[in-house]
Amino acid sequence: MTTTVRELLASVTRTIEQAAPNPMLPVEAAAAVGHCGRALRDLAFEGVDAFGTRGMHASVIALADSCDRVAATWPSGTGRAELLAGAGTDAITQISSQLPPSSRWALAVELAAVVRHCGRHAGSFPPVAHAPQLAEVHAAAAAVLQVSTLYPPTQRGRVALDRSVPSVRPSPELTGIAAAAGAASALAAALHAQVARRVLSMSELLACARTAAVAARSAAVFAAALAGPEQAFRPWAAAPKAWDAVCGSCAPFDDGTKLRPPTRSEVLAWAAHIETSLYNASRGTPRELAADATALRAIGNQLPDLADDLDRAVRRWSAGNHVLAPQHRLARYEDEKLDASQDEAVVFVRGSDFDDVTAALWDARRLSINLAGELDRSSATLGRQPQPDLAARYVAASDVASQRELRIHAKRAQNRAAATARSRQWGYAPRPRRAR
Amino acid sequence: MHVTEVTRRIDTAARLLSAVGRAADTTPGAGIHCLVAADHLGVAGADATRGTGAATPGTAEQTIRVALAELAGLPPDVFARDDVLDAADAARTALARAEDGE
Repeated sequence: MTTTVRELLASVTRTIEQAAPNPMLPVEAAAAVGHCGRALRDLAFEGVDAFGTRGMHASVIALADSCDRVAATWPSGTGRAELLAGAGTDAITQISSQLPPSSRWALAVELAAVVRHCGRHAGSFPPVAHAPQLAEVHAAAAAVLQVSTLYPPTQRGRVALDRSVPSVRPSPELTGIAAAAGAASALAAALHAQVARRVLSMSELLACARTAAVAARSAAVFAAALAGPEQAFRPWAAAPKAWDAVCGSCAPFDDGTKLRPPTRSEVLAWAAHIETSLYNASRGTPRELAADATALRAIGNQLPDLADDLDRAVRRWSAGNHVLAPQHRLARYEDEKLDASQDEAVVFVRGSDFDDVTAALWDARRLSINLAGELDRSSATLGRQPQPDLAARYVAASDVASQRELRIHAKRAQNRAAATARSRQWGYAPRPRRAR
Repeated sequence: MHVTEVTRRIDTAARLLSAVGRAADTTPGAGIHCLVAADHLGVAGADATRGTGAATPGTAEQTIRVALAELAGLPPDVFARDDVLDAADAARTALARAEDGE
């Protein structure tokens, strides 16, 4: 099952609090606190003084310094809490550069709470109960928490706590929808990395869109089963069609990877794993509905971010010569009279040629947000919401959008999916070189 | 800070959080955490019946923010007590639940 940053940090606290007061307790607590200090240093920010951020910044830096002193006081050790804290810190430092100040502050407050609990329980081992370093770090954590009572983390900032910590490899213990949920965060992370490095391929985009369509279909079926019969307006039901439309809109385009996909692609691997897991889940024996509902919410929460990243990749392609298409399949050549020799002409795709794909991704994003919000509404009935703050944002976004707007998105997605259903995927195959 | 000022602050915070926790229009998630926060302040020596001021200044979110502001004004050594820290933690969680409508 997917793990969020919030759950990871809560596990650190729980592990330390459940540990017996023995000589290893302060060692493991100090190691965990040291990791927290590393993350706090990455999260500190100056910001604009008029917004009161100087007090936040100073308290976070002071806490990071105290954490370093605690970590230096005891010999380095390892244990479950230290591993969890290290994983959480690595996940935070990977994303810290992208985070706005509100998210940095929310994460810093959460880390301060972890440090406070670790420092307090480390002192339950009597020989170190009065260690000045533990008292100092507890006071420094309390200082951060006191600032947070005047400036509580905002709803927007708390979304960072719901960031999924992606798996490195598929878990052998998970099957069915739970396995797909674990892989969804890994797919999102792999896709984000490819887009950030500007190396996403067309085959990877298609794999993501196909997987998103399968996942949205599973989620929509679940949402429909939980929705009341009085709920006639269901724009989220068109989310799978929206993703189908993304695949169909990409039919004329290729960068050479449709016929020769990259051999080592984490995006392709995770996408295949998700599709296989969902397929197996649909064929297997009935499972715990509550666990499945929770897993589908975790998957549904990733879909809007997938659409965002794919949109970024498409916008980059539209600005340069990255993708090819047969000339006769592009709208800008529709009015031109092409002779037989030009039928097979292949041209670079740019600018307005991608309008259909961009529009399809926009519909997919909007309807996926609506689907995630719908799944969240049933979290009080069945299962739980694994990412409450992220889901709250989706619900708020769904509430702001008018019914008319959502109806337009749904109608457009259905029309585009129907129009492109029979579009043949074109793949660019370079002509073999002639032997000289 | 004078002892009476400390007492006034935690009493007021406890009264406000208790009132929000018992209000009919408070969401369940926010309400339970408000009651937990008020309970922690009770362990810290607060008496909700001694608090002064309006019963609830406004919405649940506004009231919780006022309560948090009272706690923020405590001396650092008083705020660092476990019961007060636990109360502040529960109040922050209650605010998050109220903002999320849970």
